[in-house]
Amino acid sequence: MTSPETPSPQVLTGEARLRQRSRRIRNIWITTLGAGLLFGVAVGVAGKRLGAELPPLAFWAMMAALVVMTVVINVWYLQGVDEVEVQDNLWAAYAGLNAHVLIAAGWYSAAARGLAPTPDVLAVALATVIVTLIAYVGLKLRRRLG
Amino acid sequence: MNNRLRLLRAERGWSQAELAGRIDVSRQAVNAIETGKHDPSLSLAFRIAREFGLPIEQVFDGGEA
Repeated sequence: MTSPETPSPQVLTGEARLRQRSRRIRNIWITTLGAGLLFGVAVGVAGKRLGAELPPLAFWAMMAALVVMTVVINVWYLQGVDEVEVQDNLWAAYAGLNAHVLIAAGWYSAAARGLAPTPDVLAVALATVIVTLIAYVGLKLRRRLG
Repeated sequence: MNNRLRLLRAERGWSQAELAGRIDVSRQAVNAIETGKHDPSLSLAFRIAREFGLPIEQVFDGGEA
């Protein structure tokens, strides 16, 4: 039972709730970047100290931690954002997937015919990320300017 | 899909940000729906109609924008 002294819960205006929502999503971004940075530093330090002697179990434990962290952060993010944001993410991922297939298939075919150097997995991955980011930023700009 | 979001908002003196906070989406989402660049899901459309206190068919209609 609520006593007369208990202050009633503050009813936020829509704009205040929007600010709260923006803060929540910004926190998810900060956590994601922070976790990625920590993981990168941990892998770098472990690699430098142990090099090839990193026990296989430790390596697989790190990979498992990375997978769990990625899944948890993505679920948290997708539950926090609205359907327009989810749609933009899906379109950007779709563009990235198409770019990946086209670049990889094109490069491998060209290399098989001696028209290009041996495909570089990291270069293909980097190109995929770049195309995905360009698609995402393009969608966001279109929404902001439109 | 046509909608009367801009008009209903104006009647209540709500900004896009105010409506966005009330229905728990971003301001860009409200803008995208208002300008016909995004058709809301059924659940979001119902949430919007509920926020305005109107039946869904008085906020949205199925015609092309």
